Amino acid sequence: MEFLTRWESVAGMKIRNPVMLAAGILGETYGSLKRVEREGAGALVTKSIGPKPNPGYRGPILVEVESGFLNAVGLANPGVQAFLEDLKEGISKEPFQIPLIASIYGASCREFRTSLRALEPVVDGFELNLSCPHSKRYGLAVGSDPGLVKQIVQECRENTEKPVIAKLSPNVPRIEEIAEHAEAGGADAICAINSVGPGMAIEIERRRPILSNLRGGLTGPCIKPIAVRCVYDIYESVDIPIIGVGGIARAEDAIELMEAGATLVQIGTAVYHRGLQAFREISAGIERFLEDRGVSHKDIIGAAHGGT
Amino acid sequence: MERPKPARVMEAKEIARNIACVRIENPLEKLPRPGQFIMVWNGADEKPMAVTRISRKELLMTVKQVGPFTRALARCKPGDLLGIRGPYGRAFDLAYERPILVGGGIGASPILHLASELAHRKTSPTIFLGFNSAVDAIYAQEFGRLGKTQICTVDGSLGMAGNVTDHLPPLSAFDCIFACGPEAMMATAGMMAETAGVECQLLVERYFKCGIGLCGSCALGCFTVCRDGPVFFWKELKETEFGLFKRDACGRREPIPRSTSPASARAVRPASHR
Repeated sequence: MEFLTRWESVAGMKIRNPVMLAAGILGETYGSLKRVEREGAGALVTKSIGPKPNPGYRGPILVEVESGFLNAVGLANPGVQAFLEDLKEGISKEPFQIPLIASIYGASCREFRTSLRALEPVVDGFELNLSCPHSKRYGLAVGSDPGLVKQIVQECRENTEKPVIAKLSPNVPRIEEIAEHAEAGGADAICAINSVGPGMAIEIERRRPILSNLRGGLTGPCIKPIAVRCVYDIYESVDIPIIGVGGIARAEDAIELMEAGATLVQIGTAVYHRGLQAFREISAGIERFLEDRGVSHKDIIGAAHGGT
Repeated sequence: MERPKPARVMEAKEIARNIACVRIENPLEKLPRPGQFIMVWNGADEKPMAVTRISRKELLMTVKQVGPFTRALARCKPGDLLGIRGPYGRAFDLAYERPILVGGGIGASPILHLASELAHRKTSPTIFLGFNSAVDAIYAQEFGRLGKTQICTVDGSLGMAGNVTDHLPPLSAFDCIFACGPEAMMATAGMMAETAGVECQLLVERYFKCGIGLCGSCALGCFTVCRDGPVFFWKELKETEFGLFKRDACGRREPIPRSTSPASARAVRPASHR
């Protein structure tokens, strides 16, 4: 597909369609990643992997709210070594046909480097979690500091030839400023946005916040306008491709993010409402939209940025 | 909306060694079908639970005390408030005429729900229950009213001595075996059913967190157990890691204890599995 050439030339990866699996949804084992590949995703992003095994928060880790979900999973993951072994075992029997991007998190440059180096031989790229809004030392805790973002991206850049994507949070005063620093650090692409907030939901009979972590990141259709604005602002500020994510449930939502400036999109919460067929359906919907109007994907990326 | 609905505890009482029966008000509009599960929030944690019996008014669950959450649940007082969401997951397929039900230990709890539903549909199931010892036996009388019931205990203190899978009648007399219990027992049942050319549905346990197929902590092969299951046909599981390992809260592998049953040793597992 012609529309992916911009991404491919920058990132050096073949992607069969622009609809990727977002980090944090499934993606903790080889088997579940392979399943999403079979269900038609264009590329895969793993659950965020850290240097050590992490059980995450106690339940409830997720609660539905108006037009979305709050979640505070707490970066649960088996740790880079166990995850690597699981991937290797599966890949030795049946490799992935589409790009596998490892989402990694850490509290410091060193922690990011450890995970990156370990996973480097088996994955096709990295997405740096600089944006999880509900963990004490990780994610947004590092991702809201432009200088630190640049440092971490640089550190990762120096340790791999493979694409490095910076996943950013909307919960900062100017996301485009963080994006500029990621670009300056050598990022190949920006992924925006991670979950919004944090927010809270209270059970009124029990008179207690429902999430065990009390606060959780907001996802789902209710955050799409924020995602559109963030992608729009980032597009105005950087030259590297943008991966749009946040509340996409239909092909039209994906198109909207593309017109704001996204080259590719990611799907997360929609897997709950639409099942894993969401990948195939949304990617077919995008193609239909383009064909009906006789335009190419390239024509719509950033198309909403016209003269005023 | 996928959020806990408040439900008052009516009664919690011990019914066997380390096992409590917890009766609560049913807050769910949609009643769980046999094999489906609910998520139970007690203010400290939230875990999946099977349903033993359900009516518009009451929901009964059977709790084996294995950790802080189940200990707290077993010690609930009348009037305590829980949060319940669900029902979730794929239920048992009931479209069989000659079912045999196998419940092992606490796995007898959802099998009682299944037996009641089958009896309600005028299908009289054959029931085999296995426990470690007489003090672990649950719901023997209730099962007895729903179908022909045989009990086995590993130590021989009640019913037939040995593993339940060693005492099953020839399976070719049935058209589906339904089982819930220790994973090694279920894998053995699956292999025996395959040998006999009979369908087999198993109620599978994994580490559930979200309960709705998003977080991925219950991964089993290519399946998300909370959404694709928790009921699976043996033919779907036999080439996965079922019976070999499960995953902990972090997602790390943990071996499944092997069965000591001679039937298990005789049963043949396909060579290719992961």
